[in-house]
Order: sequence, then C-alpha cells, then structure tokens
Amino acid sequence: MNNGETNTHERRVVDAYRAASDALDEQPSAQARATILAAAARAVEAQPADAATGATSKRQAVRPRARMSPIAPSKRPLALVASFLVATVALVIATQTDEQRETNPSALVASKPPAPAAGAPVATAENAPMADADMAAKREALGPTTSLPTPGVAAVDKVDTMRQVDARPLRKQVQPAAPAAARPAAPQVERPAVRSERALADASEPKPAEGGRAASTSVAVTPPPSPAASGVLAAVPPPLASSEERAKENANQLAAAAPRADRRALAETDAAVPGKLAKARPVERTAAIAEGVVEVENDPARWMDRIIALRDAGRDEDADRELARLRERYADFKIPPNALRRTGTR
Amino acid sequence: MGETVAVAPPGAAIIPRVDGSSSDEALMAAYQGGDARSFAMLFERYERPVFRFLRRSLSDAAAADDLLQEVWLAVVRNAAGYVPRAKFTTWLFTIARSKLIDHWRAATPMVSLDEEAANDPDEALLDGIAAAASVQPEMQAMSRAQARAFVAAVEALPAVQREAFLLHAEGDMTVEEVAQATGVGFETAKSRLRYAFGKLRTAMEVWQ
Repeated sequence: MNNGETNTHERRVVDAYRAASDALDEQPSAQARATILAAAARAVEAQPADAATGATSKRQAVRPRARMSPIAPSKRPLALVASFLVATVALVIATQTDEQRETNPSALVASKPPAPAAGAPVATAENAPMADADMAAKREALGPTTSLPTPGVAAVDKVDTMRQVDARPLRKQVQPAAPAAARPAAPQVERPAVRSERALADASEPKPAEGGRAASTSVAVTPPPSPAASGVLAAVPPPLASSEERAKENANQLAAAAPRADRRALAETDAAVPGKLAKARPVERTAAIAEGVVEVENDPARWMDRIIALRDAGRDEDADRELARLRERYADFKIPPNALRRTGTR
Repeated sequence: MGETVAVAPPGAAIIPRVDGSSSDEALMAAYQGGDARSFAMLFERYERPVFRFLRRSLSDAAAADDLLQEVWLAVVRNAAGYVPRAKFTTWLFTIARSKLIDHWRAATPMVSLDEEAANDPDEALLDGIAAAASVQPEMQAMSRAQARAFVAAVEALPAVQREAFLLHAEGDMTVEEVAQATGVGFETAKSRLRYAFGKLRTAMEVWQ
C-alpha cells in the first residue's frame, strides 16, 4: 500500500470482505431507519423559514444574497456611512449654490459700469440662474449696453455671467461708445425681475448705480396683463435703431420663453428681495412683490421710468397700456417724449 | 458529479438540484437548503457501511442499532455546520468513530493497554475492547460459515487495525483519510492497514 493505493492482494481482501458483508446482509432495524429519517425530516421542517425566499436553512437563505451583493457584508456599514457622507456633501453644495445665486448677483451688479446718463437703479434680477430665458434676457440686457452688434459679445458675457466672475474688464471692453447726451436715460442694463402670471415687478428697491446718479431713470418692470409678457424685462434704451430692433427681438424671445422661465423668474424675484425677505416664505415674498408694484405705481416718476424702460425694450404695447393707466391715474402728469411711442419721424 | 443548480428567482435561496448520482457533498448542501430527500439519499448510501462499521466493532447488534441512530442524528444536528472541506465519508465515519469510542468508554471501565497504544487512550480503549470481543463464544460460532468466518477475522483484528481496515473498506477512505479520521500520522495509519491486510490474508488462506 503506497499512499492509499492498494495492491492486488489488498484489493482481494477488501473485495472478499465486501462479499462477505453482502452475503450476511446485515442491516439496521427498520425502527432505527424510521427514527433517523423522521428526525432528519423534522430538523428540516423545524428550521426557521425565510419569509421572502421560503428557504428553511439560515445558511442558504443568507449565502445567495451575499453572493449577489457586490459589497462584502463586513464592508456594508462602511458603504452606508460613505453614502451618507456623499449625500450630506451634495446637500451642502446645493445649499451653497443657492446662496451664491442670492449673493453673487450683487457683486455682478456692482461690477457694472456707471450709467453714463443717469444712475439708474439696478435691478437685482441680474443674479438669476442661467436658463435659456435668462440667456436671452442677458442678450437683451446687453444689447443697449454694448455697441457691438455681434452676437459674440452676448456669448462672451453669457459665459462671463455664468461663471459669476467680475465682469468689469469685459464690460469695459464692450462699453458703449455712444455719448451720454445721446439719450437722457442711462444705458443701464436691467434684468428681469419678474413673476410670470401674477405681476412683473421690480422686486428690489432702486439702487444707485456706481455712478452715484439719482434714480431718475430707474427702470422697472410692470405687471403685464398678457401672459406673453410675463417674462418681461426692462432694458436701457439703446442709442441706435438697430439696437431697438434687437431689443424687440429679444423681448419676443423672452416672451416665448416665458413659461419655461417662469420658475427662473420666481427665483430671480426671490433673489432680488433683500435681507429677510429673501429668507421669507414664497407667500410672503409674493406679497412683498405686490407691495413693490403698488409702491411703484404710487410714484408716477418711477412708473414713468418703468414705462420708458418698456418702451426702450421694444414692448410698446405694454408701454402704451401702462401709459394709459398712468394717464388715468395721474391725468396731470407730464409725459416725457421718450415715454411715447416712437413714430419714426423723430 | 452531475448536480445542477436550480434557477431561483432573485433573492431566493439557491438549492442545488440533486438526484441519485449527485455527490455526497451536493446532497449535504441540498439538505442544508431544506431538502429532506437529499438526506434520505445519503442515508441510503451509507446506512449499511456505517452500520457494519459499528457492528464489526461491537458484539451487540442492538448496541450497533442504537449507535447508528446516534451517528445519524449527530449528522442531522451538525448538518448546518458541515463545510465540505473533506469528503463527506470522512466526516461521517469520524462521527461514527467518536460515537463508538464514547460507547466503549461508557460501557467498559477498564481496558488493557498494549505497547502501541500506550500513549493513546483511544487506541488503548479500542484494543482492550477488541481483545475481549475476539474471545466471545458467539464469535466462534459465527466462524462456521465462510462469510461469517471472514467477518469474524475482521472483528478479531486489533481495534486500531480493524478500525483502519473498516474505514478503508466501508468508508472507501485512502490512507491519508484514514489517518485524518483517526487522528494519527500517515505512516501509523499505513502500518495499521498493512498489519490488518496481512492478518486477513492469512485468515482467507485458512478457509479457502
């Protein structure tokens, strides 16, 4: 016998033994057999069954799941903690992004060049998140500001705004060459601070521009009666006729994008509300915006500024409507010429 | 050996599908998964070898029956902890051997020690029992028939040799497995088997 190998003689002995055992036909009693088999069956039935799998063996119920899971059981708590941390970081980043949307626009506004003609109040809608409608609004807002008719300027500024960096160098580069005397109103960029279906309002109080000029040409957005005007914005009148056309076109684009920009506009409006208001609940903020609209309409000069802004933005119908309302309310208010619809002869 | 794995729905326990040709280990795995038929197949395969292993080591058939039940009930109790690191037969006959030794310890307070088993209480126990059994009258009576004579020759072997031989013949174990089951070295197991075969060949020559 070498390493378990039996030679012929040993094999013969084993075969003889097995033959003898078979000849004797020795077997356990039937009672013993029945007892053993019954005990085995009872043991299987007594094992706790898995409610989900129906498995009666704990080992078999656990092992397949362990095989299917890509994470070892010993590492599952670690994976759980890691998932929680990732979720927490994502939440913090999202919160910070929202805060930046509220805080950065002021920096962006501060970086704007001073109004050449008047220190128009700067609408805080500049801090709007960048959606398609916002981009269109940005282009519109840039139209009067820039004397460059090429779309590249808007694109550059769009990227600029999206990155939310100081836009001053670029603004200087695209500074309008038009003289300040060309128009009484400052070519101040104004972004939409709008609430779509309810009221379009200049949600923020007029702020003096960097130039420190009075807010005589402050631009505001009034609530348009038509839904198409919900995405309205105010823009500074461009010095050139082509700018007017472009502003008109941009206004139309904005109107088309109004439903989509609805929520954006709400965010812009919310962001425009300073201080505690920004942290207020939406209902409270809406009420505050309505108050701002009423406040603007209580001041005919500010109302007129808003009408002029609408006019400059090419939204003559809205401007006319607002003008009619103003005339009804303030019949003796002197209407400046630039608030009237341009006839082309001027 | 031919066992396949049943396709189970996701999350369900995977129980090997077994049949009569499945390996012992697959049958045990199926029994662990709750398949009582698998245990019945295993029992069918090894009930007689285990019984004969016990019966050759005991003079009492009823005691062999009782021990057989204890062995298989131990298999049932320990089935959940069975890990197929070795052959199922090695595990099974190791349990049978343990039960046998427990039985002898309970039934025989005094055993004789030989030189070989001087340092091994189990071997001393086995050899003492074997010496007592070989001289029993009924064993002499059974030697009249050829088969019974040969079986008697097996039973007459020294316990450690008989144990090694029975594990080899009934459990189909190799020398290594016999050594593993009995807890001795390879050379020791090999030596015991060689002695056992030598004595049995002599017995065969007598009655042939």
